Amino acid sequence: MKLKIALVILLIALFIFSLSTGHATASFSQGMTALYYGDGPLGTVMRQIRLPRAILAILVGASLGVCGAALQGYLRNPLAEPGLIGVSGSAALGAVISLQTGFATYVWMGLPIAAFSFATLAVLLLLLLAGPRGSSLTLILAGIAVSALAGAFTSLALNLSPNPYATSEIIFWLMGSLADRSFEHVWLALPFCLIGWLMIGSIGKALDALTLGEGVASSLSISLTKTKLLLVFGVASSVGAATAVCGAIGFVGLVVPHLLRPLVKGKPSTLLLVSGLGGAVMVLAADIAVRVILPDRDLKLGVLMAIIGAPLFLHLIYKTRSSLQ
Amino acid sequence: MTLLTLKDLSVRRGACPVVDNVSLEIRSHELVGLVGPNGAGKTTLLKAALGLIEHTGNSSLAKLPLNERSSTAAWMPQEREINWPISVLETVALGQLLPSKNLDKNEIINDALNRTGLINYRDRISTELSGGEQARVLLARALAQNTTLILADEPIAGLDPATQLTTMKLFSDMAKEGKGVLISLHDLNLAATFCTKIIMLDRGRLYAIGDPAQTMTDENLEKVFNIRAYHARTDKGIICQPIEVLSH
Amino acid sequence: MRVYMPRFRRLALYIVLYFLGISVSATANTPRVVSLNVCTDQFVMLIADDNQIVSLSEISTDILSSAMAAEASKYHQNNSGAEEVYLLQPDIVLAGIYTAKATVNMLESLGIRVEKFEPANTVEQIIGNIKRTGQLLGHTERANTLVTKFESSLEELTMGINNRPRAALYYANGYTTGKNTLSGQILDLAGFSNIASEFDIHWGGTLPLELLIIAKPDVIITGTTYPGSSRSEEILKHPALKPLRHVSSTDANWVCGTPHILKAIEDLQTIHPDKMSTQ
Repeated sequence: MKLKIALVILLIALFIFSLSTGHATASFSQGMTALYYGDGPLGTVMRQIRLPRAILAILVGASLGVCGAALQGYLRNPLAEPGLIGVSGSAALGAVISLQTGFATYVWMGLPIAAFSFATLAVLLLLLLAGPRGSSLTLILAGIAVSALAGAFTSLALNLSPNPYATSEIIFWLMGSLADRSFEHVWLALPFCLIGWLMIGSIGKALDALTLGEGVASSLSISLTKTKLLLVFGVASSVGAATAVCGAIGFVGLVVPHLLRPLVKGKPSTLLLVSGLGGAVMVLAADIAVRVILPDRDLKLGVLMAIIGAPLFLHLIYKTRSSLQ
Repeated sequence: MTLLTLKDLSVRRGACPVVDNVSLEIRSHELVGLVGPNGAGKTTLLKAALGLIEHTGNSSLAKLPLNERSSTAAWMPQEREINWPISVLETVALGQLLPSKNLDKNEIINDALNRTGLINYRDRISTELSGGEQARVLLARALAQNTTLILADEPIAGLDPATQLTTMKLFSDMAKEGKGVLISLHDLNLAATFCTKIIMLDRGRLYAIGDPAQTMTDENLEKVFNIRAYHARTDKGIICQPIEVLSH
Repeated sequence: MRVYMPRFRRLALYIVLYFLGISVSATANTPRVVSLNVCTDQFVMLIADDNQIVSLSEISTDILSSAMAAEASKYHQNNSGAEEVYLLQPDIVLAGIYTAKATVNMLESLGIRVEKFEPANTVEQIIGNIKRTGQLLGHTERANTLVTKFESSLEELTMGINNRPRAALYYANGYTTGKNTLSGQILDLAGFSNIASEFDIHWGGTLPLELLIIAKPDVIITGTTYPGSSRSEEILKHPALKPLRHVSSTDANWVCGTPHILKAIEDLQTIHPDKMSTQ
C-alpha cells in the first residue's frame, strides 16, 4: 500500500514536471495558469502539446509495465517483455502498414485496430513457440525471430512508401518517441489501453495460482484457456495501441517488474498494478530526460530505455543461465 | 461417504493405453496409496482423475464444473513448483486465492501452517527454503485449500526420513478426521505402514486393490514389481521391506 | 581517382555511337547540353534552343519539385549516372555543386566539360546564373532580355508594401528556413517578415512547435505534403496549429532560384494585406 502511494505521488510529481518541461520559456505558475485557463499561445502549448505528451507517457508506460508483469507471471519467466518478445515490433508493423495503405485514414480507429491485430498474431505465435511454460531460451529465440521479421517488414513498408520522409522514420517505429504527439493520439490509444488493462487486471488471481504450476492452478478452479485469451488480447490491445501512436519502446516491461518484484514480495497479482504505476513513472521520467539531455534533437525514448534496460537484461540472462541450457 | 469415483477411466497415448479401464472409489477416512513400478501410469491416472488431461470413461472430479473443483479436491503435483519469491504465508494462502490483507488472522491458513510446523516460517521467502521445507510449504498450501479430498503425486519423494514420516503421519491424520487422501508413492514400506488401502497398478491396469496385508503379497510383488520383500507386523503397522530383485 | 580510357576504346565508342545515330559533332556557338540538376534544367529550358537540349534530369518532370515539369516532358531524361551521360556525348554538362561528386569527376576525367552551378538564394544570384547560362549556351542576348523582364516584374510585385506581417515557413519535422535561403527571400520579397530571424535562424533549422505557437506568427506557410504517410509531416497537422492562420503549402516554384519565384511571390501575396486589394 505504501509502495502504491509512493508511486502515485512520484507519478503526479513527474506529471507536473513533464508539463513544465519544454522549449517555451514560462515560469511554473505561468504554465499552470495557462493550462487551467487555456488562454493565449502558452495556453495552446500547455493544453495541446505538453498535456497530451504527458498523458501519453502515462498510457504507454502503464501499458508496458502491466503487460511486462502479466507476461512474466503467465510464462513464469522474468525475461518475458512485450518489446523483447516482438509484440511491440509487430504492433509497429501493423501501424506502419495501416498508415501507408490508408487503412488508418479511412477506417475509424484503423490505426490501433491494425496494431492490435498484428500484436495479437505476435503473442499467439510466441505462446505457440514457447509452450505453456515459457523456457528462457525459447522465449529469447522466438523473440529475436519475431522482432527481426517485424522490423524488416516495417523497414520494407516504409521504404516502399511514396513519401520521402517515411524511410527516415524507421528509427521512430523501432525506438519510439513522444515528441509532438497530440490529443488525437491520446483518443486513439486510450480506449484500447483501458480495455487491455481491464482484461489483464481480471487475470490477477489466475497469475497468482500459476505460481504453483498449471495443474495446481487448474485444480484451484482457474480456467487456463480463458486466462490465456485474456492475456493475449489484453497485451495486444494495450501494447498495440501504445505502439501505434508512440512507436516501439523496449525494456520498460522488463525493468519495471524486475525492480518492483522484491518490494511487493513477488506476488504476480499485486505486481500488476504496481508495475503499471512504475511503468508510467519510468516512461514519464525518460521522456523528461530526453527533453532535458538533448532539447534540440528528438532523442528516441527507446534509446534511453535500451541504455538502462539492456544491461539489466544481460544480468537476468546471467542469473537464469542455468535454466537456459 | 464416497468422495471420488472413477469408472472405466482410460488414457491413451497414440494407440497405446497408459491407463487402461480403471474403476475405483475413494471414501472419506481413507488414505489410499497408489503404487506401481515406473511407467505403470500412476501420475497419468491422478491427472486424468483431476480432469487435467484427456481421458475416456468417467471421473466424478473431472466432471465437476470448473468453479466447484477448488472446493472439492486439492492437488499436489510431483514437480514442486514455486515460481516467484513470495513469502510462506502468501504461498500457503494461494490455497484459497485470497488477497494479501489480514492473512495472518485466517484460521484455515494458520491451522495449515501449524500442522506442517511452518508457523514460525510465515514471513520467510518460500523459494529461499530447502527442498524439504518447500515440500512442507506446498503441503500446507494443499491443506489450506480445505477440501475433503487430497490428491498428491509422490509427495514424499526426495524427502529425509523424518519429513517422510511426518508427512505420512499428517496424511494419515487427515484421513482419520474424515478426509479422503489419494497419494502415489514408491516407498512400499511407508505405504504398507500408513495407508488404509493400496491400489497396485501394472502397465496401466488395476492389478490389486485392498488393505496392505491383502495386496502386498509375495505373489503380487513378484508379478508387478519383480521383487521379493521382507514382511513383518509391528505395533506401528505392517512392514514390507523390498530385499531382492528376482531374475527372469 | 582518374579513370583512363585507352584511345582505341574511345574510338570504338564513337563508332558505336555513330551507328546508334547519335551525332557527336560539336557546334562551337550553341553547344549541345545535358543538365543533371532540377534547377539547371529550368535555366536550360528558359534559354537554350530546343535542339541544343540533349537531356534533362529525371526530376525535371516531377510536379512537386520542378516548376517547368510540363515543358520538361518533351525532352529526354537521364538518371544522372556518368555512364548514361557520357554515352549522350554532350558538349557541356550543367550540374549543381551538390550533384554527386563521383559522377562529376568521372565525366570530367572522360573529357566532358562540366559546369557547376551554385543554388541561387538571392535575386543577384538568380540573375548571375541566368547570365552565366546564356554565355555557356551561346544565347547572351536571350539571357539579358530574360533578366530585364525578371527585374521589372519583381519591381512591380514589391511595390507598395507598407506592412510586413510576421510569417513562419514550416516544414516536416518542425524545420524552418531563414532569410539567407531562397524561400526566406521569396517570403521577404512578397512583403512578409520571417519569424525565423527572431530565433536567430538565418539558414535552416528546427523550430520547436512550442516556440512557434508562442511566437504566434500572423501566418504559417507549410511545406508540400507528399503522398503516403509520414510522422515527420504530422506536425503540420498538429491541432495546436489550428488557432494560427495557415496558408497553402509551398510548391515547385519555391524549389529553384529561377524567374519562376515570381509566381511563388505572386501566390503568397494573395494573403498580403497591402496586395489583396490590387488583385
